[in-house]
Amino acid sequence: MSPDDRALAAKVARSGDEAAFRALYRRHTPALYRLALRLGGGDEPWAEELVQRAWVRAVEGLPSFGWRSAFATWLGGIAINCARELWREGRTRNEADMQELATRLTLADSAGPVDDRIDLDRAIERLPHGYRQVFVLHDVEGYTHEEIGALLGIEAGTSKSQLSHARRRLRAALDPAAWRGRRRAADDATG
Amino acid sequence: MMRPDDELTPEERAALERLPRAAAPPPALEEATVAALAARGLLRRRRWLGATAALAASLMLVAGGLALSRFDSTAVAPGDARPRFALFLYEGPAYRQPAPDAVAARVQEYIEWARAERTHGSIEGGEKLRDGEAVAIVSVDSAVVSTPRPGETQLAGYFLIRAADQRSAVAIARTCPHVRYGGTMVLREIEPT
Repeated sequence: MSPDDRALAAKVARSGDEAAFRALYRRHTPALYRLALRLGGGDEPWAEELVQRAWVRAVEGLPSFGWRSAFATWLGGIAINCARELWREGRTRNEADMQELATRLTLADSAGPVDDRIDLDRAIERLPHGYRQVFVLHDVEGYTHEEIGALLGIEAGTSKSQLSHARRRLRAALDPAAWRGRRRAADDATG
Repeated sequence: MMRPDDELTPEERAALERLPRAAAPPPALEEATVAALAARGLLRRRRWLGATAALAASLMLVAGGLALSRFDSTAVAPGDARPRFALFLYEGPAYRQPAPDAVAARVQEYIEWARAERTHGSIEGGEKLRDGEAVAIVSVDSAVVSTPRPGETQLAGYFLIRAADQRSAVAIARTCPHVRYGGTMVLREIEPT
């Protein structure tokens, strides 16, 4: 059985154990990187910078981590704070071009079956980042509006409003089939 | 399409639940992160002195073979219309290092292989990549730089191969001593220009 997060984190905090850190990194970075890509609108260099910054902050903060939440939850919160820093520093890609998205989706539809997950992911990536961060945190990651408010330094009501705008944008941009998914397409083909 | 309560429909919720929860990060990111932590005194780097020596020996082997293919000029006929392939050589933890007193023999083995293939017109050239150098992953607005650690899988060099087709190129590649010692290779056809 592999050591749990707490045992690995203790080794890292106590003695800077590289092997323990690599084990923690490999366990948690795939989810962290996916979150970073979503928050960053698919911008890979931005996501890499976010992941690296989040890990540095996490290791710096390990001695004071009280383990009142899961390590992954704590790490995700750190990443979100780092994302805010990067946005404040102006390290963000251009805002979504919804017209381009609509055109691209139309072309994709005409080319044949589309993987709905890819289109939904891309549509999320193209949301303006204020909408995107709330949508990702609430609808994808499962944070409550109160938690999002605390993480982002906004009112819970603002979070709800941003979420509403984000959902509206996605519904306008995506063909309903992208929400339904391929199962419906398969049903149509066989039925 | 906006509903009065603005709630997700079951279909929308299901679509969101199907979204992937993980993505493979670039391999260099781990090294860059470890290096960043070590630079801040938050990690202690492991010592790899023994492995360093072994790695240097293994890269020297490749260098021997590649240098031969680069400088021997009895090679491929001009106007050869056969497809060209790039054969990339990788070394990782599975690569079996020679004992110190067997290094020369291993080098000679690579040299003999490259010489034979060159004689048959199968190898056009090759280069060894400098070992131990920082690797930079560059995009339009970022450059992540890391230094490969001994034992980590890395690109060590490449050969340029002439062969009738991919099957023939694979057959040539499989005769390279590199695979017998646990090295891995990637073969790609070069786009004709």
